[in-house]
Amino acid sequence: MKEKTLPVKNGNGSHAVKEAVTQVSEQGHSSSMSTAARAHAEMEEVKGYSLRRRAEGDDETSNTDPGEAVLITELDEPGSEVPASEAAPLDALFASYTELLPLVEAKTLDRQMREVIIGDDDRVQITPTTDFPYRAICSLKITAQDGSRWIGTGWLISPRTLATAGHCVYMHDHGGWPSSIEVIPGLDDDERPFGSFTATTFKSVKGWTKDKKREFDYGAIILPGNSRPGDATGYFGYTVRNDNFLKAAVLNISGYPGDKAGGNQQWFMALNTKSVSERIITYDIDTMGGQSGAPVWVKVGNTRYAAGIHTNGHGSGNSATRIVRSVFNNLKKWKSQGM
Amino acid sequence: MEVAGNVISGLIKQGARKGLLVILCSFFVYCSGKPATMSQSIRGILTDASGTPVKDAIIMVADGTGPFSDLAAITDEQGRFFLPPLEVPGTYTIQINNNNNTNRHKIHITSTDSVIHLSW
Repeated sequence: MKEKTLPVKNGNGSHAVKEAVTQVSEQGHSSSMSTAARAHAEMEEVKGYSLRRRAEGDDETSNTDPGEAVLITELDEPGSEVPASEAAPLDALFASYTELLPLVEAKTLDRQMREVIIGDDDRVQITPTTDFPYRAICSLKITAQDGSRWIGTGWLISPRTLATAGHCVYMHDHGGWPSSIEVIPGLDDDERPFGSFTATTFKSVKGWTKDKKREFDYGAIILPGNSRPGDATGYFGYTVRNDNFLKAAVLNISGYPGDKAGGNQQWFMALNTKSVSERIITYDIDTMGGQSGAPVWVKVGNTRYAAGIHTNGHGSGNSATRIVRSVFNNLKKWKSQGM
Repeated sequence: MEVAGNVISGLIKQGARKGLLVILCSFFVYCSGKPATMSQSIRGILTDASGTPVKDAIIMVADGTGPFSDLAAITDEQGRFFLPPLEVPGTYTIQINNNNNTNRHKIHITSTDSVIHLSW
């Protein structure tokens, strides 16, 4: 990531805004979001927030040595939706067999529509799970320090980093940091299209590990150096959005609920936001145990950005830890540790 | 006039004191009447009708009077499991999934419940 300054015209003339751009040469991928759309998004985000010191609750904790603090100014962190290994062959394929293009476009359109369905209590199984963004969503098989076993969900934000709920990586009543977590991207019943990986490095923040505050219930999993599923699956971007944007947004959640095939199938649902508070997003999207840590994402143009991390169920509304600036900064730091 | 003013002022102060007292009493009654809740980790055992422990079943909270983490637990060889921390006392619907079959139990959990027994 780098920043550049460009002029943007408005009704009163022009003024400068900062635009986050992807270094295509560095990652070999480019975001599908247009320059105009990105500049617009950046303007809205910068306008609504000011730089201030992080709350102490967002200070990082880890079962390994803590990383260095990183100064972040971006509010949208793009993901990588199309691995380079897939993009080039597709272009070449369409050049030779143009009759295939409508079929692929129809499939893409169907997927886009599925992400805005507003249904009555309906979850939809995602199968196969090999399309983005579903392949970047991972089943978590958690073994706590006391030997108890749990099911959760995580999502890739870099080749080796997953974002998830704090309570998936730090369980206060079960020894704290788990002894291990098996990460399975795009698990689809018996199919493990991207393999599985064992993680022993976990991140969270003091607000969760020390203070047990629900508002700080988020964390990350860093996979070993030789485990890079995100290279094949791509990974999510994430974003800080203001209240008005989130209140008007359709939220998408996909994860691994324990009531479906033993937690081995990925299920999806989308619905409008119910309410937004300073650090929590609430919705009536159906979830079940096992979906803790699932991404709560929005589509901006053709790009997906996670705006929250699903954590809680409740009869009055299920909820996510909202990605605010301090959460964003920590995700950014953990992402860099898994590049 | 001055005497009358002092009398009125005294009555107002007395009324204010009474009002304050009523508010404090009401607040005290409200607080003492509202049951205190605490977050508590719940241990459980799952057995079948014959009392045999059920292994590798998925246990999760499906609904409840308080919020709960959306984790699912897996039973061990002795049928033992934990529920995520729950606000107690409270009433929760616990869902069990085993070999693609589903069973639900609605249970009231108090702070004195150390282990809950569920049957499959």
